[in-house]
Amino acid sequence: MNEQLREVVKGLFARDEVEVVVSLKLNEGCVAPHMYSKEDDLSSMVHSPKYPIGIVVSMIQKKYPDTKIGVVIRGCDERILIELAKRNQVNLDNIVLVGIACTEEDAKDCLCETPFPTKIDIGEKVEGITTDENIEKISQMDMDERFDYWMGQFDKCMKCYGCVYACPTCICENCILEEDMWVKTGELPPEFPSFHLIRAYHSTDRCVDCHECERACPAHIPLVTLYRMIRKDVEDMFGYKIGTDVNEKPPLVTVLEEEG
Amino acid sequence: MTDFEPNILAFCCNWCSYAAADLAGIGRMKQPTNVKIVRVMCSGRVKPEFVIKALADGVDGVLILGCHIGDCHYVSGNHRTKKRFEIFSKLLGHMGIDPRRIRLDWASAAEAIEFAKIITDFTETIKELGPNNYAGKHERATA
Repeated sequence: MNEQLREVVKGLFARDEVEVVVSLKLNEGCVAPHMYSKEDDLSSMVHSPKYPIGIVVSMIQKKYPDTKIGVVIRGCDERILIELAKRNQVNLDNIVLVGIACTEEDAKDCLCETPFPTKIDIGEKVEGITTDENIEKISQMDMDERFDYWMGQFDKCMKCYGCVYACPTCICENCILEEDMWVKTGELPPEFPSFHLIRAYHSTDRCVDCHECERACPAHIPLVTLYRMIRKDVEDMFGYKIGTDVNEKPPLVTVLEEEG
Repeated sequence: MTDFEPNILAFCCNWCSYAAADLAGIGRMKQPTNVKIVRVMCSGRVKPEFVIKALADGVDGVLILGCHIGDCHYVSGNHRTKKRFEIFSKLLGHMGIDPRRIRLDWASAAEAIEFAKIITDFTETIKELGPNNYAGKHERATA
């Protein structure tokens, strides 16, 4: 698949569709995002592991707003870019997407519902996974059991802010979770229930199900389970599917329909 | 739980529900005294963080009162409040905090009777639910 990826990128350069391509680079056994230009040797370009490349693209675009950028993306990366574009963090007009479909193992690893971008250049589309045992388990619990379950989980939190910094759609420059007013500094575990409840609420209309927070969490808190439950509610209540349409405004910033 | 007197926080918007509270007072309507009112300029000012903070500090119930939909002084402030709190109460439910502890309702400046009814109803609900001991439960759950 890496060979195929390099061919597609070579094609983009040859047709002058892009000036640079952002992808992952394998360097001495380590993988990191890298901006390739036309003259560069593409032999180090790889497509795995998963990496939320949207943040990198947004950083590059802030410095070079007019450059045509090619971006190698997976399904979640596309959703990230769309959510960032809604919030004026990236300009999709200057971006050419190279879509990679995740393999079945990748999809299972993330329990991903849509493990493929809308336009697939490389790989075969696999069906998404829609069942989540953890969610089913929690929805059968009563209030007290749920509370005990989550408090047991959140007690492991060491307030490293890994979930916040790893989240590709957390874009506020001044994070409310770092203010003493809402989350007391120097207290472990974070007091009931501020930290995680505020974070979960903030992710309601922007969580793209990329699992970066869970991967970053050193305490293995099942954060995605909670975010998925609330994402589902947003979908049911407002018919809003996160990361699909760049022109669709998040429901929490729009007015009610009946009043226009 | 007959001797339990709940501690309730109410966010009232300046233009409708605070005026309703005023009118209820002037009209000497009978209502429970458990509610402490915080005046905000619009119910849209009430962030869910305020509610989280109140619950974390031991308040038993939180009321958010605003103008009726369509009557907002700022045109669409209460639209946002409505959407926000629908989602927020779902989230509380998922985390095992009883969503009945927060309520969003509307009372116009003339609806003193409605206002007193909302206050009475909500106080009754919270009395049934009992005190907010989530912080204590947290310590037990993690001990």
